[in-house]
Amino acid sequence: MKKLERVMLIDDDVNTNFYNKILLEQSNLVEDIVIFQQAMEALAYLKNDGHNVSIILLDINMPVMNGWEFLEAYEKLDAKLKETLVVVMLTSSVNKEDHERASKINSVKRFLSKPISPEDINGLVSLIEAEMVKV
Amino acid sequence: MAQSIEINIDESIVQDQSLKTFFNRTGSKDYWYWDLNHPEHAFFSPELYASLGYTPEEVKSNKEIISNDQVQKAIKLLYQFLEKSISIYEIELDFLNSNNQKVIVCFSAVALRDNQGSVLRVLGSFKHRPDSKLNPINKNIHSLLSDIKESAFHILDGNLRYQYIFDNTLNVLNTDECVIGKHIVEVIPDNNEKLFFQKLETVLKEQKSLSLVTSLNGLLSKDYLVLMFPYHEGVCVVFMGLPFGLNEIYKKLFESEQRWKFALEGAKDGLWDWNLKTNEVFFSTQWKAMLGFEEDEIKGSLDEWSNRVHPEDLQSCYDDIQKHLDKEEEIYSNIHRVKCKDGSYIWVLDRGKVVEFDENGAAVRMVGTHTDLTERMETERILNNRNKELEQFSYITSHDLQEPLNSIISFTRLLDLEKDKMSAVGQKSIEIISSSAYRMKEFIVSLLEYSKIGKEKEKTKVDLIQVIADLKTDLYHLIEQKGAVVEYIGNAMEISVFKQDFIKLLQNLIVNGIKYSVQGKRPHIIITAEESDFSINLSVKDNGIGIAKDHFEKIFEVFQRLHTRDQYTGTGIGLSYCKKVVELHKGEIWLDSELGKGTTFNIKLSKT
Repeated sequence: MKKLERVMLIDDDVNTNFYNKILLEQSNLVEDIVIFQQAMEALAYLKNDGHNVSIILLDINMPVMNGWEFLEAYEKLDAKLKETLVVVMLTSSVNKEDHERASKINSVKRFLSKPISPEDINGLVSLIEAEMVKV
Repeated sequence: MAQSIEINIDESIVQDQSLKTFFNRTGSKDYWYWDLNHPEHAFFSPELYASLGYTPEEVKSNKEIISNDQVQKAIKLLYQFLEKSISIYEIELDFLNSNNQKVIVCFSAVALRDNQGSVLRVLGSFKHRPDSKLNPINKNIHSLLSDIKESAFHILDGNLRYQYIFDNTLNVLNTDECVIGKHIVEVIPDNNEKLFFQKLETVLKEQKSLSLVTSLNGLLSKDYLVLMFPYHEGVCVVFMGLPFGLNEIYKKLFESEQRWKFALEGAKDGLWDWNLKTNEVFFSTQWKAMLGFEEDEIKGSLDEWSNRVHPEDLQSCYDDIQKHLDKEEEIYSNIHRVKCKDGSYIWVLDRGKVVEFDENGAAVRMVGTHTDLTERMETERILNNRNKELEQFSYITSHDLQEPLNSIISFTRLLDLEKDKMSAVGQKSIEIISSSAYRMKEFIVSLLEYSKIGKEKEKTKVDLIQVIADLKTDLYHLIEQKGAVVEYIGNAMEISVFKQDFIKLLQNLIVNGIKYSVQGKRPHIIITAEESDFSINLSVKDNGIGIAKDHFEKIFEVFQRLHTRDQYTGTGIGLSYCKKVVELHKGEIWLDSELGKGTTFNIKLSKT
C-alpha cells in the first residue's frame, strides 16, 4: 500500500488528536501528520498553497468555527487545491441527521464515528487510492 | 301628492272582484289599491282622508296633505317591493291633518302576481299610529309577529299603564285598545302569576330583557312565550303563542339555556351574548369579575371588550370572528389578552358561535365564553423553558459527555495493544474498563435518541419493505451472529410517518426479538402490516423467551428492566422509546405474549 503524504487532524479535543495521531503512526501508512485545534487555523494553512494534504479528519462540534462552517469556507477554496484532497467527517454520536447533511456535501467522502479504529484507517487509504484513479 | 299618484276616487275600480273579496274578508275600511295595468289608477279608501279630517273635495283641490319627499319615499319602496328586493311592503308616512298637525300613517301591502310572477295589483291597508315614539319598534314587531297567528304585544309606561296594544287576532288576552291608560293589574290580575310580575318589575328596574313561558295561570288559553324588554320609560311585553306540542320543547330549551348559563358561571367562564346588528353585548357577572370589575362597572356594548383587548391581539380576534361568519370555521376560537381593571393583562380563550341568523342568512346573534388561561399560559411558559433546558441538557449529554468517554474507549484500545506486558489483574481491568465504557456509550446514545423523539417536523412517505430491508442491512452483524431470520409478510405499502423515529421503533422491536431469544433456538422475527382508512396496523412477532402478564404495562416504563445484565444486556429505554414514538403518531402499542413461546408487539398508528 502506498503511503499517504500528509494527513490533517482538526479537532478541539487534545486527547482525540493524540489518539488519532498514534493510530495513524501505528498504521505506518502516513508520512506526515498536521494537527489543528482550531478550524480557522487549519483553513489558513490550506489556503497557503495546500501543503499536499491528502486527507482531512474533521470534527463537527468545535468552538469558534465548527465542522460545517469549515466546510462552507473549504468549498470556496481553489478547485485545483481540492482535487486530490479527501474530507472525512468524525462525529461523537450516531446522528442520522448529521449523516444526511454530510452526504449532501461533495467534498465529504466518508463519515466515521469516534473513536476510529485501525480498520477505519486502512479503509481511508483505499478510499484515497480510488479517488486518485478518478483524477 | 296629486302630481305623483293620480288619485281617482272612482267607485268603478272598487267593482273589481278580487278587491271586493279581499276587503270583505278583512272587514277593513282602511285600504288602498293599485292596478298595475292602469298605473294611473291608485285608490285609497275615503277613510284615509276622513280620518285626517278632509272632505273628498279638499283632496281633489290638491291640498298639500303629504310632502313630495314622503311620496317619493313611498314610491321608491313600492318599486323595491315589486322587484322583490324586499319581502314586506311596510312604510310609515307623515301626513298633515286638517288642523295642520303631523300624523303618522302606516301602510302595508301585499302583491297579487300572475303565473310568471309579474305583479298585477297591489292591495294594502293603512292604520294611524297614536304615538309616533312607538314607531321604530312597532315596525319590527309588527313584521315579526305578522307570521305568528297568536301573538300580541303590550307597551306599558314606567307606571305599568297601557300605552299601546297590538293583538294580531284580538284573542290572546281578549283585550283591545280600550285598555289604553289602564294599569296592567286591571288586565292581568296580580294574584295571577307571581313570576310574571316579578320579572316585569325587574325589567323596569334593571333595564334588562327577560323571558318566561306561562299561561298566566289559565288566563291564557295555553302556554305562551312571553318576552319582556325595556322600552323607553316602560316595558314592552310580547306574547307569542307556542304551536301545539312545541311549548314543552320551548320550556325545555329555555330551561336548558338557563342551565348552561349557570353551568358556565360555575365553571368560572365568563359569558357574552353579542347582538351583531346593534353591537350590544350582554356580559355575565363572571365575565366582569374575571377582569376585576363589579357588575355595574361594565355596560353592554362591544367596545367594553374591544377597548380592553391588547392592541396586538385585536386584529387576530376580528380575523377569527370573520372566519366563523364566513363559515370557514365551525366555532370561533381565539386566545388573546384582555386588560383588567388594575391595568394588568390576562390571557383568555375566547370561543363563540352564531346562534341566530336573519332572513337573509346574515348573523344576528353570537354567544360565547371567555376562559381565563393566564395560569395555564404561565405554566406553559415555564414548561417551555424547562423543555429548552432539557434540550440543552441533551446536547451536553450527547457531546460533552461523549468526548471524555470516547477518550476512555480510545485509550483502553491503545492499552489493549500492550496487554501482553501486563499482569492478569491489569488485563482484566482493561477488559472491565472497556466494556463499562461501551455500555455507558450505548446508554448515552439511547438516552439521546429518546430525548430526540418528535424533533422531526413533518411526516414523510416511506416504503415499508425498503425500511425493513435497510434495517436488515444495518443489523447484519447481530442477525448473523444469532443466526436469526427476519421476514416481512404483507403487501408493499407506502406509509406516512416520522421517518427516523419510525425506523428506530421497528429497529428496537426487531433487536428485542433477536436479543431475548431462547438459548439454542434460532430467533425468528415475523413482521406484518395492514392498512385501514384511518390507521396502519403493524405487528412484530418473535419466538423468544416471552413476557409474563404482570409485566405487560411495566416494560413500557423508562429504565424498567426485567433481567440482570449477565442474562441480557439492555438500557431499559428501548420499549419506552417505542411507546413514545407510537404516541407521537397518535397510536397504540400493546403485546400478546406467552412465557417460553414468544411475544407479539402490536402497533396501531393513526393516519391523521
